[in-house]
Amino acid sequence: MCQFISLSLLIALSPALFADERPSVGVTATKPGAPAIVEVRGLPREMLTRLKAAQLTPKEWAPIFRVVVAGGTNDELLARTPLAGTYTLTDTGVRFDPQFPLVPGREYIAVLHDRPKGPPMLVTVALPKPVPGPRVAISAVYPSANRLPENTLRFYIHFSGPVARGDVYKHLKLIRDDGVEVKEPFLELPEELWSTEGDRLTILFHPGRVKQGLVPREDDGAVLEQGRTYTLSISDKWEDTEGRPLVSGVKKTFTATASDHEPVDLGVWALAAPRAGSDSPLIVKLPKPLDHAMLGRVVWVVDAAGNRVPGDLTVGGGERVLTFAPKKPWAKGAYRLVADTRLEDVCGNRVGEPFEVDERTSPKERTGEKTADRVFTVK
Amino acid sequence: MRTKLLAVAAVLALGTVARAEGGLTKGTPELKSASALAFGTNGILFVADSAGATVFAIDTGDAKSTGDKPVNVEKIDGKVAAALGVTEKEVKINDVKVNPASGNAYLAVSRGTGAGTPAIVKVTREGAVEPLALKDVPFAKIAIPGQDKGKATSFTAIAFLDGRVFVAGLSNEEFASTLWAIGYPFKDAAKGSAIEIYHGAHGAVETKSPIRTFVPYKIGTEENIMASYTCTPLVKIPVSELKAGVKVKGTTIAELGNRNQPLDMIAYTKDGKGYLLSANSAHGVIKIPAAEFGTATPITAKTGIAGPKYEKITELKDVVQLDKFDDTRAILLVKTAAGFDLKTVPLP
Repeated sequence: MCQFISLSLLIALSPALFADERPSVGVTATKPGAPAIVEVRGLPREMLTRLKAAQLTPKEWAPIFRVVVAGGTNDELLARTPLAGTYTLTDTGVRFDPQFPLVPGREYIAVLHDRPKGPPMLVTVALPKPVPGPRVAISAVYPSANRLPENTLRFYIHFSGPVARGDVYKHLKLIRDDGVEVKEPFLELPEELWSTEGDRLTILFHPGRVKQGLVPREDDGAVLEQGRTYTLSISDKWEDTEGRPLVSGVKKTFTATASDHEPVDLGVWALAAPRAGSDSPLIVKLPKPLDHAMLGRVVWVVDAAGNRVPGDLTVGGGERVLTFAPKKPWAKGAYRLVADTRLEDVCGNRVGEPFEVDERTSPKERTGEKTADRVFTVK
Repeated sequence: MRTKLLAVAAVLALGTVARAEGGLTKGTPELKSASALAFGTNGILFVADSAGATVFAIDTGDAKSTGDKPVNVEKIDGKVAAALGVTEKEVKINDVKVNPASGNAYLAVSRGTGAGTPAIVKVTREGAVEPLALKDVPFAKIAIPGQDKGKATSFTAIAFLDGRVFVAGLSNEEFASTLWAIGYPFKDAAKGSAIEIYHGAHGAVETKSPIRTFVPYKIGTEENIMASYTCTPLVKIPVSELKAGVKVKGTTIAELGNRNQPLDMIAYTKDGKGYLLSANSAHGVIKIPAAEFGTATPITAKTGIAGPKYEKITELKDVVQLDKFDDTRAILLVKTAAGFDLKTVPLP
């Protein structure tokens, strides 16, 4: 991009445009890797002298030279708000540094009034568009089980690459086994809950229809009813950031089971301790599936001295099996499997605390513990 | 010798940093997103950046009154997109706030169809659309703890009150409502203080739903956060109770109706009486008298619409954002068939 790209197209407003000695306009970069700029070269000398004396602000530059997004009629182009940026005079013309980088592949029009009374020059400029990567697929949907409590709180949808945001809920449907589409099953949050890496979207069931005794649930019923089967349908019309549809849509079918209001209890986890000297994993079987995202993040192993044991935690078996593979072989002794008490099951019940706390039946004071643990011994 | 070298390095480092007023430092605030905005005094703009898990304080240098002309711009999304070098399909206006010092409107914008890049755009009373060039500006920032691998917090609202910045956030993993109260000027060592908010609802069952929007409001002499949630309970939380690391139970004083999400909320006074004005997904714009906020009976039983009787402002339709423009007017971001309009209207 370091060389000057000559104008790619000249849009004629009148034959006068093709007269000799018009300036040239193109995109370039001041150095390799630097953001692209739009540069005019070959302005008439007396115009340059005048511009140098004038010391124009960006607002004052616009009637003389500006860059706008392409598209629409010439009148629309000429009325369009110009790109924000700064203008710098050069030896032979002027350069425009856009405040926001030009989008590769997008056409822009440089509008140059180089003659006091004549029509402006309209020059289309564009940065080459890099070859786009592979189309995006839905790589996973969690919870992965095909039986889910009727008070399930959320789904996670994982993508293989970045997809369009801003209107995600239109791509999601929940269909009951009799073919009826469940009305407004999800909480449509304008913020959209994306992961830090941008490859996972959290979908919350409408909490008013999950929680007990709320009017929406009483009026419209729970979203999920025990014993019925549902299909979460994710449309392939969802576009990636290149405007291409997903590789394919996904349908996840599951049956709703009885609601679950039990807190997560580490005491009922089944731990299979590894043998001393081996590097085989600690295997933990969970009596019910837990939140996929949190399982991978808020569970760890410490040794007898309380030091964190380096290793890799893997979540599998429909989010009911955890394996912890240590980096180094296990030494003899006591270890603890620790979980942050914020760990939730698929219904939002936490360690030691159900999703909904009823003051009449629950202790007023919560324990306030930040972690819970299970001891296991390596022999 | 090593100590000496370190001392020299420290002096050099200090020497290169230009200190500006009020603990702000000149430089480039590296926003990763612009989720929500609030103004402090003298043109200080607070930006809640969800992707960067940071709150920025930026001196806009826009602290002089610019008259009293209303801001009215049709198809503001198209104009903002054009200034950012994209089409209107590629911009999302996340928040609209008026700088009380100047009367110019500021927009928090995402540019791009995916995660997008942030922009703060000033819209003048004349309707000029001017993206802020965030280079060599006095600013300060503070990290909001809690971001982790995959785990993000979407900031839904931010407000400035008496030297403190309040930020409400919604996690993409835990189902909880967290409010951070951060002293301003930001102190280097001070991390945002997380407060878990509960409110009584539907019988004696507590709930920890995420706050959708909130506004500071003084009831008598007591500052409160008036918070609104999905399904629109209105909850009051005394500011004096908001201390780091505590769990606070707010009091539900109104149920504004179901199948509805609050979008934005402001507080104002008209003819000597206090009101909240709230924009909603289903109920439109509603005006709630504040006179009974101090004495309202807490709602603890399952109920339909309850609490102070509110008025639907039917002439204001499809409002997605609102802010106080001045003492008598509000600025609105209104969804239309052609995009979005920015409108100034009298406070109802």
